[in-house]
Amino acid sequence: MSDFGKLDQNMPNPWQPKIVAFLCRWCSYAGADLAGVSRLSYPPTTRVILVPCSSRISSYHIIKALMAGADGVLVSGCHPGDCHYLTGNLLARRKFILLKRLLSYMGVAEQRVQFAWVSASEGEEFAALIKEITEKVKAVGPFRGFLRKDGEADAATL
Amino acid sequence: MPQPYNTYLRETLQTLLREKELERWLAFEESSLPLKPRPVFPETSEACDTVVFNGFCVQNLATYLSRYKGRRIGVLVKGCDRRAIAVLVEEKQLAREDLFLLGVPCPGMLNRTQLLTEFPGLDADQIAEEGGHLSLKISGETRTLQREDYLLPACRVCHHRTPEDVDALLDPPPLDAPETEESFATIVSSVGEMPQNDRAALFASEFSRCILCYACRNVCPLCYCDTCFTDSLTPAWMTASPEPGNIFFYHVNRMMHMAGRCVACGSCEWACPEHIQLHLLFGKITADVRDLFAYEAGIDKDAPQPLSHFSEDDPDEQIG
Ligand code: SF4
Ligand code: SF4
Repeated sequence: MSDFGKLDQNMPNPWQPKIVAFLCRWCSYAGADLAGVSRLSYPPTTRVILVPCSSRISSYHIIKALMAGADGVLVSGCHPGDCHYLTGNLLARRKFILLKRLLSYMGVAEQRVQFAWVSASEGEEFAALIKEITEKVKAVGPFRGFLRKDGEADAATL
Repeated sequence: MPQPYNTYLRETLQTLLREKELERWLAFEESSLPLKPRPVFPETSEACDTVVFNGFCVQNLATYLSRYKGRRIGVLVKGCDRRAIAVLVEEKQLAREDLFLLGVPCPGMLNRTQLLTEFPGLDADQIAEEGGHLSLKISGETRTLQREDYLLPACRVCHHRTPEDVDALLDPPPLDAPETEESFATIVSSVGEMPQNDRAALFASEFSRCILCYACRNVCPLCYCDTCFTDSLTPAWMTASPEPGNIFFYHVNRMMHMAGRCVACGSCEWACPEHIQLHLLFGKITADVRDLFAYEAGIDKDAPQPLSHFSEDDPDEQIG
């Protein structure tokens, strides 16, 4: 335990973002699995939550993750046309586009909430995706948008 | 509105109440608050004598219909009330044939807060609405204002003022007030063009006043769930404690539920005790649904609701 603390303090940038990743059971989770069994390395920043389908995820889960302390959220499912339930991700896509536009309009940094299609055979793509979104979330820093009632201090980290 | 118009309106309601064998009307009467008529539910001819219609009858009356399900009710409908009823019928919350809809060509509703701020103590009988003008009688003097400058944001951009597919339409219209050219896209693009930090600060400052009273939800004709996500305990998504996270959660999710359903009546903004600019939110979702899916709630009756439908050619913007 104490070793971990020391290790962290010696690192140039100890802060690592926490990213909640909602992965669909049939494609993206299997893609993450493939990245694992292929021994690909990617930043340990994600907390994976397995869901049956990307359409299971609504704006509730995404905002709730931010409220619970996540610095970023990733939602990932099968490529359009490849949904295990045929149309789940196509329905989800409409919802996500509206949400994405709404959040960015409200001043939330685009990097905070991201969506990506990853198939079960895309282990390398998955590892690359996690690297990429980790960098993006790092660039906008820790999320403290909901901590204080005082307008400006909040807004700066949204 | 000129007094003769109210007389004409009352007589029409009385005749139709009798002829169409209606149980009651839903309409407006003056309340104890200035410039804030309240809904009234007259069952008899005499009770119709208090009914009024003027530029302050903002509230969407469709909100009350759920409690009269299956009964023969007459409703005085503006364009947005009619659209809300269309959505409710489409969602199988109401049966169209139970209702008798008396349409009123709406002149666009006025911003009570703006008027009362500029002219404190203003009362309904000091205002005369004539065409595109308002004449105010203030301590013996008459001031003439452009109606257009005092419209509520949602009404400024409304292009469906006259209700369609009604059982009877009030003719002549109460006023001949011209529409403006603007649309929600104009309003929200002016916010969208601000730098990100300014947008964040704008909503943070609006939301910092929100007390999570849920008036905006309660007044909305299309928020009819028995258990709202705000009240759900398993899971408890949020609490009613007005903290930034809860407030943000509430507004984003409310808007997501309104996507493709909001008829932009502006009742939520009108009901908000904190004068939060909710049109910036429902205007955004309305403009986006229109832009992405070419759909207007309560107008495009034959098209499926955009979020219960999809197309393989939907835009994939920002999704990798
Ligand atoms: S969200 Fe507001 S503007 Fe939209 S239908 Fe409900 S009350 Fe009317
Ligand atoms: S009516 Fe206003 S204060 Fe009340 S919950 Fe809605 S936005 Fe917040």
